[in-house]
Parts: sequence; C-alpha cells; structure tokens
Amino acid sequence: MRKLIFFVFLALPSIASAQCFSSAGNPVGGSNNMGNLDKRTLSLVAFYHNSYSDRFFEGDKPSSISLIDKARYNFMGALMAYGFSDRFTLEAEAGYFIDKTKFYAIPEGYSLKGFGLTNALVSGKYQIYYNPVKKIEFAASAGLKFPFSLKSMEVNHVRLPFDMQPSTSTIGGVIQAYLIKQHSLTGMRYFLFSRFEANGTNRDGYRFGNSLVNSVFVSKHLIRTSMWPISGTVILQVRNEIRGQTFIREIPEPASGSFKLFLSPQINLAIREKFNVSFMVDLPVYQYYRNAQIADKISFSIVLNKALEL
Amino acid sequence: MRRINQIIRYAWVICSIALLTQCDKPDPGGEGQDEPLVFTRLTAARDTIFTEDTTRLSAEASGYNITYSWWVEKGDLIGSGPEIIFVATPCTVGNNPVTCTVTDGNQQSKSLKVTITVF
Repeated sequence: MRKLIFFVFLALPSIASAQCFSSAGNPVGGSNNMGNLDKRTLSLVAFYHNSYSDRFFEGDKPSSISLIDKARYNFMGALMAYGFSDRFTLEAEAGYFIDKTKFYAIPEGYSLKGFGLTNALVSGKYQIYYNPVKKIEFAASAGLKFPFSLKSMEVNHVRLPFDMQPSTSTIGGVIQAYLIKQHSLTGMRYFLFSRFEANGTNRDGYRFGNSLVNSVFVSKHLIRTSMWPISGTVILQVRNEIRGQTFIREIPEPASGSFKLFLSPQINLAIREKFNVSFMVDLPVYQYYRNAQIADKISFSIVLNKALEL
Repeated sequence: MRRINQIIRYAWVICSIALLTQCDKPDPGGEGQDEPLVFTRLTAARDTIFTEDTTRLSAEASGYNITYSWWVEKGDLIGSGPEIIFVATPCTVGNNPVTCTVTDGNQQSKSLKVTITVF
C-alpha cells in the first residue's frame, strides 16, 4: 500500500470580510489529500481556519482608507475522500462560516456579522501518471461546486453585502492538478498544485471573479525513529492567488480582483501513520489589489485527518 | 412514589415553559389584523455623501405586525427595523438605490426606494 500523502491546501477566501469583493466570491473552503488514495481507503478531514485583517490596500501599497477597524472570519470545514480504485478518488467537501465580521471605524462601534454554509464541492480525482520507481505522480480532478441556498443571506431582514455572504449562491466549477515527486532516502517531497475556480451568475446578478491558485510545497520528515509513534514533517508552501474581477449584471466591478503571494509554513504530525494533525500560518509576502480593498494580514489553520482502510 | 413526584415536577416545568412561549405568538384573530398596510415614506438623512461616510435611512409605515426588509446592491447596511445606516464603502461611487420592503402579518407587502449618491 502506498503511504497516504497528506498535506494541507486550503482554498479559502483571502479575508472573508474583504471589502468590495477582494475575496474571490467565497470559494469553497477545503483541504486536499495530495495524490490519489489507495483503493477502499477513506480519508476524513476536518479543519478550522481563522483570518484577520485591519488594513486596506490600493495597488500594492497600504491605503489611507480607515472605514474598517478590523475584519475577521472563523471558518470550519470537512472533506471526505474515498479511493474507488488505485487511480480514482471521489471527494466531497463543505464548510461553515462561524462568523464573518466587519468592525467599523465609521460609524464607530458598529459591526456587521455574516455566517452560514459555504458552497459544497464534489469532485473526482484521476491519477494520470504514476511511476513507483521514480516516485512521481500526476493527478487531475474536476468538480462541481454548488450552494446550499440560491437566495442571498439576510440577517434580521437586511441583506448582507456580497463580501459578507457565506456562499456564492450559485453553481461553479473547479479544476485541479497535482504533481508530486518524492525522495525516499532524503525524506524530501515536492508538490506542485494548481486550482482554477469559475463561478456562475447568481439570482441577484452577481458573478464572483474566477480564481487561479498555484502552490509549491517542499516538505521534509523530522522524526524517523520507529519506536516513537509520532512522526513530524515540516512543510513550506509558496502560494500565488490570482482573483479575477467580479461582475454585477455583467458590468465589471472596479474594486475587485487581486494578485497575492503567500508564504505558508506548516507542521504536520502523523500519529501512527493513521492520524494527522497540521498547523499552518499564512503570511502575505506580496499583495496587489485593483482599487481599494481590505488586504490580507494573517491567518492560521488547524487540520485533522484520519485515514481508514475499509 | 418519589419517581412519580419527580415526573410531575418535570411536567409542571415543561407546561409552564410552553405556556410562557405561547404568550409570544401572535393572536391569529388578533386586534389590528384588519389594519391596512400603508408605506408612507422612505427617507435618507443625507442622500449625497462621500465614500467612507454614512447616512441614516428611515422608513415610515403602518399596519398589522410589520417587518422591514432592506436591500442594496453595493455598500453596507447596518442595523434592522425601520431605521438603518448606509455605509459608503469604496465600491459605492455613483448612484445606489436602497430598497425597503414592508410586509405585514397578512403577507401583504409594499416597497419604496431611495437613492444615495456617493462621490
């Protein structure tokens, strides 16, 4: 049996409370098992994500806009994957915003809170190439994301602004590609991961911008003693996120779209090779926004994974 | 015997809660049900503002058991009920029609719009 390769990729809004659509239309929150699962292997993932910001950017520079004191979100999600064969894995993921909150500086002391289920994603992953000698694997997946409600969310009969909505309220598509290379002797692994998301137009005429995320992961095993039931892996992820413009009734929204580069150090603890706990921090290295939008500041995630052979 | 007493005590607590909850429910044939729904006006304290500014919107309506629903395409609406605050976020430059819909207990509804111009 091939060892389950578990690394965390979270395709979450950059900052859920982003102003003027800097979040890419609340894309599906999720994580990924890199590579395919073995036949009859079930992987269960649960995660928590927290994001915080207190600044606006215009272009790649901080803006003087001081409308928001701070913005944050708390998000939890789950992913279930099952290996139907050694080459085909079916995945389903969904998430829930515990809160997406803006704390206003103007008017001072007020806040606005959104919450609720995000879009769900069902996708099929196929292993296109696998060389067990060279330890190279290439897989691709395609999926459909769909909302739990087509209606925009209202709180106390007041419709939430679109950057506060928990889901896109419409269907969308996701295409992903994975390239994995392992070095057994050095304990090093290299991953390339790409994810493209396209969104449909919802009932209110909003079409959130498409997004393209590219990640490079480099990992190294830290503990390799057979006596100790826990093994550790340190991972460094460099991630680029490109968000397209949002359209409102087919008119592009000027204050939408962004280009970002993140550095995400991560530690993964595998307990008896069956149960994984991961901790991850997202640090923005470079950010560019069209017009004024709330910029990312810091976020962190905790991920639990359990693999079962059925 | 002790068990029966305990059951009676629990039943009494549950019945009390049920009765208290019942008090909050609207009387289906209650007073004022025949009152017609009238949406008098929807006003903005200021209908022209700059970005990063706010304005207060007020709805004046009468009728039976009214709820106020608010909708705007861009910008943030804070609060609920007959008075809310419109926040001119950076993406609101231009005209922003804000719709308020009042709905009464008989499921009749009426809507009015006010436009906030943001520079």
